[in-house]
Amino acid sequence: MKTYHNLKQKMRAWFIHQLPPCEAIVEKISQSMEQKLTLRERIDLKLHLWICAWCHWYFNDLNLIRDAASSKTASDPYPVSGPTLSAAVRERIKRQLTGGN
Amino acid sequence: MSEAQVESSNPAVDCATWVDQHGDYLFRFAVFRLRDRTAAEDVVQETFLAALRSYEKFAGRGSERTWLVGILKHKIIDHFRRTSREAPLAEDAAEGPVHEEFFQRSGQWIGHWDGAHAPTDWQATPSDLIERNDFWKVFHDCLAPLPKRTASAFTLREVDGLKSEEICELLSISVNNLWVMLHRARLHLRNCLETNWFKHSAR
Repeated sequence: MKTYHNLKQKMRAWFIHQLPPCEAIVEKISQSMEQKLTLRERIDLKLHLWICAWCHWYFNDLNLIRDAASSKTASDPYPVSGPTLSAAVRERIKRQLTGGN
Repeated sequence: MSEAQVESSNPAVDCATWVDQHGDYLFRFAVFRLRDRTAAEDVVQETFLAALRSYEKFAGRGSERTWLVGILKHKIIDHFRRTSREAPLAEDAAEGPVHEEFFQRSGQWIGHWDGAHAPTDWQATPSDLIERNDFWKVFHDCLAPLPKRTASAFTLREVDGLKSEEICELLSISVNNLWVMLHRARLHLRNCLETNWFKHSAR
């Protein structure tokens, strides 16, 4: 069983070395979110994601960020507590609105 | 300011209450996209002025805030157009951290993930995050170290869902430039969220 496991690891290592490295794949992952990749790129990407858990998670994480961010906007664009208008600017805007200077 | 003065007699609007009710919300919305407080203050002011001028047309149809946000979006787009014309990005001068340290730089695994920076399984769904205000705070802060234009491009793409071509036109950049910026923003943000939220938070 141990020999089988080692062999599997070696095969995996050999296989991943035949494909573009993670650094190139993460760029392709990002690009795939912008346009359709070529057939060759799609195959390389699929194979890499199939054997590399890290890039697979990277891919999932980016898509989660996209899904969460876009549905966040749909429900409420940006309600998070955060910076507020300073009192001076608030007064300036009020003055402008009421026609003062 | 003559225009504002003419309209200021509009009795239907209580301007001071308006600013108090919606000012901070609009400001945060603008800061998130423009990454610049002064610019955000200006667009919020322009939004209120424009809203006052067109109040008749709105006439209480729908939510006042939604209507104001609609005007603000236009003002933000105008701002991007104006500033990108004034300070165009040099061709091929993509911005943002490269984060080479995320990958092994020597040995057999050159170009593959470095163990300390390798992604992990977040085991989360969008609905786990949408209502978590503290998550969006971290999200906002994680984008802060990026160059403004890179952070804006990312927000326009992923938060507002604009198309690549629209963003290129708004920011006066080439599509290749945009892709490099988006890639760098994603690489940086994903790692930052992992470090500051997924590994830390008491979810």
